[in-house]
Amino acid sequence: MVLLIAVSVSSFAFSQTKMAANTNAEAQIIALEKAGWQAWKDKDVNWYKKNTTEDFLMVLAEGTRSKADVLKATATECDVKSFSLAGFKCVMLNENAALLTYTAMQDAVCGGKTSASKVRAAVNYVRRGGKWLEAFYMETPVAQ
Amino acid sequence: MKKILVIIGLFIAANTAFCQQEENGIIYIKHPNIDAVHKTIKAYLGKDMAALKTLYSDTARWWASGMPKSIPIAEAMKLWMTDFDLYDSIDQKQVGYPDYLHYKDQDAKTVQSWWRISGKSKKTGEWVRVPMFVLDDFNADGKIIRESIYGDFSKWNAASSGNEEQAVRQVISDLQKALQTGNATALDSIYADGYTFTGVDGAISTKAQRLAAIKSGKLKYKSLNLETVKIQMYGDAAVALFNGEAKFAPGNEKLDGKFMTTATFIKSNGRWVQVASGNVRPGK
Repeated sequence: MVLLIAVSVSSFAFSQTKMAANTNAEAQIIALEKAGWQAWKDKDVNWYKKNTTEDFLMVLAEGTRSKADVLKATATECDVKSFSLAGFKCVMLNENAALLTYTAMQDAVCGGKTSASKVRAAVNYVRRGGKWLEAFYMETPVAQ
Repeated sequence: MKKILVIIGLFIAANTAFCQQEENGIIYIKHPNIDAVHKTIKAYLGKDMAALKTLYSDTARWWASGMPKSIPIAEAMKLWMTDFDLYDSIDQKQVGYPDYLHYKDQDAKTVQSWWRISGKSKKTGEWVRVPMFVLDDFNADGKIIRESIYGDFSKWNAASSGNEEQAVRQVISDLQKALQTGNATALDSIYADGYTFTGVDGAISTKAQRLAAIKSGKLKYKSLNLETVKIQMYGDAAVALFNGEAKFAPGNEKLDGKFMTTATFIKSNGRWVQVASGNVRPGK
């Protein structure tokens, strides 16, 4: 019985620690995503090199893009005047995977075409070697 | 005189401390409840579901390390049987001997036992061995009411990851069938409680809204084809990318057409469920 009580107490303590760890991870992931958008605006290819998985995939209305495609497009394709991100919701799928959703407003032109001004984004992050990396990015234009 | 008084004092203190000891039940080395635990192992290894059912109460619950919460025993038994789809030569060897602890306090009845489960992964050919500690709580009728297993099952679960991908593909197939046939009951078990759906128009629906639309017939598919492009496994989470094409019943024709989906799944209580679905219309 003592063992059961000890397990309950340690389980409670573990839950508290886990909650704190999740909150910390969520904050890190949201900060990363904001930095990713800023990097896109600044044409900072290095951010994408360092913060996406090797098998990173971006799913847009224009089709799917690999990491190599994204690095190329980030450097040359888009001119971003402004953006704002809101309504972040982060779901920890397990201790090494998370799903982040939010709404983005943007004023951008990519490949000569004006991008949808409002999109819903769903982004999967995974933790590899202790570092959170973007693994999947999907964007859905919101009908205006 | 002082020495004598000190000795007497120590004797009284020791005697008092001894008197404060209190028994809280009996530990048995032989008991029908210990036999019942042995029978559960025999029935598991023999894949004898009928025998297993006789050993647990109908309302029993089961939990193992890594699970967020316990699950009903009927669900657990189905899960145990999948071990044999993933592993050959499964064996469970006793380590030491079990104790049956019959506590005076609350009349609790618990068998604690130590085991080592082993099996050869069908996918990798690797032998996996997991030491584990098991607590079985019994009711007065000698039925197990709760079983908790402590151990590091990461290797046991990892060796079956190929089958996990297959399991996710199966859920996608089930999802397609359920949507095509408007089977809200099936969708209810496929969608996680916090499920969110982002349509091709960017509108967000909750699980309840999605199920209500299916049940009322407001959302009805004439046809639905899903082609899985990629599944990425992240332990007990997975992300699938698939291409689809749908035709809807009158009233929703505007939604007809091709789409791309990223679907996020988690394994919860031994079952893969969908937590989110994001959709985009290609070529826009």
